[in-house]
Amino acid sequence: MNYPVLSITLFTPLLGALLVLLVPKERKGVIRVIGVLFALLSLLLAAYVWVMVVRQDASEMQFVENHPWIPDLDLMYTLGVDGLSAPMLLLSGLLTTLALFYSGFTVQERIKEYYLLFLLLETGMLGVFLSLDLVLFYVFWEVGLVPMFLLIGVWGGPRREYAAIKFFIYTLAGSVFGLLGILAVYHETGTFNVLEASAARPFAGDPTWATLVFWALFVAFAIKVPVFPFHTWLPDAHTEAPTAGSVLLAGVLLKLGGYGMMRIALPLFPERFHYFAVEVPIITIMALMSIVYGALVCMAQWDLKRLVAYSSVAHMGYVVLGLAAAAAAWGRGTDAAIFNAAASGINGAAMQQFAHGIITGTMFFLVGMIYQRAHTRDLRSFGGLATILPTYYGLTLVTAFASLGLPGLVGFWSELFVFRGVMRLMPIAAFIGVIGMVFTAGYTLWKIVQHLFLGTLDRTRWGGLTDLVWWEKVTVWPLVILMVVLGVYPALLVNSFNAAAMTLLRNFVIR
Amino acid sequence: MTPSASVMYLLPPICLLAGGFLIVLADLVVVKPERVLRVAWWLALIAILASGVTSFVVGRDDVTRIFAVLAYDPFTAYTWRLILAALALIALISEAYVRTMIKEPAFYYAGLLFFGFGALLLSASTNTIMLILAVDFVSIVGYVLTGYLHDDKRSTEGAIKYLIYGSAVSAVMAFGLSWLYGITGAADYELTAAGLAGEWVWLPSHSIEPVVLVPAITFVLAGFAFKIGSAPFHQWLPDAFEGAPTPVTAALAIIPKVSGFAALVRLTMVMLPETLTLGLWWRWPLIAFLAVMGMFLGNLIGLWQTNIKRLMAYSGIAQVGYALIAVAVGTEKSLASLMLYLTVYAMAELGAFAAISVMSATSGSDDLTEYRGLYHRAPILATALILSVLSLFGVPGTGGFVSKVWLFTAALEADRGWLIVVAAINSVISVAYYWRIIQATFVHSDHGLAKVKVPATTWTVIAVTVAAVLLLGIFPNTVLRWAQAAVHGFFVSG
Repeated sequence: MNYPVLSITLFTPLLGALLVLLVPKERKGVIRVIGVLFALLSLLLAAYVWVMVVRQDASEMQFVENHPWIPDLDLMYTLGVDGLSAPMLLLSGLLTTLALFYSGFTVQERIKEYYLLFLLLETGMLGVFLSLDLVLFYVFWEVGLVPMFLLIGVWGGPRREYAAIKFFIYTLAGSVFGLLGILAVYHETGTFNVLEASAARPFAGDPTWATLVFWALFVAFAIKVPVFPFHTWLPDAHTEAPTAGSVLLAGVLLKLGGYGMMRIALPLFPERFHYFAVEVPIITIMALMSIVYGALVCMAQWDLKRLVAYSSVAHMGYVVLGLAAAAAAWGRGTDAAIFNAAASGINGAAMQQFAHGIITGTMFFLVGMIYQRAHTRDLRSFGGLATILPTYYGLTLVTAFASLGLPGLVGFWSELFVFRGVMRLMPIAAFIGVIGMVFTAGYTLWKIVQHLFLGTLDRTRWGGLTDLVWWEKVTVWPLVILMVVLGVYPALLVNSFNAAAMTLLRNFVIR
Repeated sequence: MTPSASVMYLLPPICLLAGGFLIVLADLVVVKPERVLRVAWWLALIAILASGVTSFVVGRDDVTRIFAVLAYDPFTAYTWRLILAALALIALISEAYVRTMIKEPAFYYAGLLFFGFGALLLSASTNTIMLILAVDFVSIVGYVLTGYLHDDKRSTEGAIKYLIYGSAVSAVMAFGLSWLYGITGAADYELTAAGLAGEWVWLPSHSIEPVVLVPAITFVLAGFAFKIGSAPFHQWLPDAFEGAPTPVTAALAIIPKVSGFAALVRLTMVMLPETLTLGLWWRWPLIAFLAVMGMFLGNLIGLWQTNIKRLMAYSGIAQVGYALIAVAVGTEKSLASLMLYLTVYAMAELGAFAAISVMSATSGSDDLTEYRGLYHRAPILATALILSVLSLFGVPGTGGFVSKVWLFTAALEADRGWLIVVAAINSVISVAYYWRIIQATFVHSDHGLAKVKVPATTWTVIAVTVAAVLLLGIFPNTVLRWAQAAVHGFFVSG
């Protein structure tokens, strides 16, 4: 018998949330165990799904479930995974599990609501990666939005309420118009199914409408990514969110935007994407601005968490740049070199999503760990920590190098693939983008490595700091190992992405 | 159909009327105040229940006229059941509130039943004279109920504003209707429509420029706008909402709106069909204008409110704005989505007012600051309030989302895309004040405040409304089909 594996994966966290609801709020230990257990369970399921997808055929949708949900409105409950989405499930499951594990030792207030919202958030995130129906996609998109909003608002830093409402209004403003875009696509094609709608080429003969609907969808995703100039919610939200919240916000929620671009905006409107990436290169400029400007702003930050937040803007810019490169291949024939460059762009974007997820997730964990010890994140007050926090130093160093794209670590491959595609298809953008990489190296080495770890140690102030304890190591080590493993053997992931990216290009973009 | 046979269809409103008189009678007979309280409440519940049961006995699919002035059809049945369900839940909310805040409970419950009676007639009217009678009936009972807290100045103020505004607008509406009557010689909707199309009842056939009648339909629409609480005829509403006893506020937020919308839909579809030039103007620009005004005014002024009842008033004005899109579009799909919209709206408002009512009776104030840390004081009450707010806002998983998506799809299909763009902009604006409710109840963790005692009747209401809001958001198919069946009659020719 065929089990609905995807539904089980999707609703495992929700089931956990319902169980948490039944436990009295005084039983904190039980709640924590349930939370981690169910997150772990969904991680294992996601791993199983990924393995099966890779073994069967990562280029096509697997485990497809298709049931009518609200037939009168043509809404379907359609789930499916391919090589693009399966690794993202793995990422969501991994980061949620680690975030909940870490929270078990650091969060003391309102445990029950915290775990409940976290598990709900996971269902929302998994749902976005699994949905093949546009409205279902939107439903899970919003389902993830509300818990994150409350996580920032309740468990965040001093300016949490401002940050929470800013995050909510920004994302919502985008997604409401995204919903209008979805409805317009339905009105045109008669289906909410992502693949069928993409195949139908909505508004192919009507550039005005195509432009409007494309931007409605694109801006929804661009705010989530976030691309310059829609990024201003991000520093506040990341800085104020609790550590585990920042991890998931940066690690997974931003990826929803990038995923939406590659799964919906690009295949539905390849021609418009091409037009705004090449002829009127707004998207390319936005991506390049994110990369260069984001990195420059990082240089000016003294708050470590804010710095990491801005580095997300810069790094997510590569995702958009990679997709712009893939779109640039539209209408340039089926020449193998162009096709490969475009595939490389998508692979790079997808790889960057995964890489940035684990790198920045780790970075936020590490920031949380130092903040918990020192109660400050001001880089000017630190220095010389390498001598007393050797494990912390080592782990941070690996993460920082992965972030700046050192060969041998995961960040290198994603940037390589992106630039391979961009260089072939829009070389000028590649030259500008590389500047950003230089700045990235600059702020990583100068701000993070030098100001935190090198120089002389203020013994009176920091002499009492202790190195990482066992549960902190358990949180960070898996991620760091993953960075190295994927850095040495990226094929593990790239094969999966590549198979799906080829299908995407062949079916929708270049055909 | 003979009059005696058609009386059968009138049983639901008659049950309410009889129940109301029985309560007044019981007040004369029963002496002990404590017993009056109980007897009145039980009689009210029984009357509503009886009314609900009879509404099912007479059959959903029947289409008939009652005394040539009321229509009984699936549309009537749907609205009646919705109103009765809301009325029953309002009676449940009232129990604890009336016990502590109201001095003459008998007339309160009788008033509630009369309110429902008027609303049932209003939603079934097919005759302009019946329409104006029903509008006035509902309004007059509304004035009395709004001013029911005799010692509270705000209650009296709200009632007087409501009264003055209501009388003026009713007069304007009657004037508009008399104009139509004078031109066409008919009070019946269908005959009026025929008259407007040039098939005169009294006069030999000759044409009249529809422009001449634009003031008349504008006046009529003003009456409807007042009744459903739509901008720019909304100024009475926040004061009445604030001053009225909280369960009455819930009633004001739901019953006149649902019945007013039902009457508006029937009048729009039967008396001013799209085939008439006048009917086209009625939809666009008149109703579309009201919709846009309602959305913007409600949401923008809502941003400044600090009293939760006033906030709900402005939220209601905006909700009416969204719902009016459906009438302006006027297709079968859009009207079906309107029925779902009103159902979801009613359930969400009831969930919210169940919580607000407990809070007003506990603290005596409706200021948002009273709600700080409510989640710690009464978790389930706060959850019901938050869920209702999320549904009003349209978060997926709640009924508000499904009804909005349906409405938007319908508007888009009818090429009224710009209206939903306005609605989308307004959704974003409304976050800012809906957020304040969530912020106060959930985000603030003020510890050490006393737990709020939630009465058993309120538990029932919360259970029903929470279940309804979630079910309508996740498995809405059954209600969707009822809604479609309800409006189908307007689109069957002949």
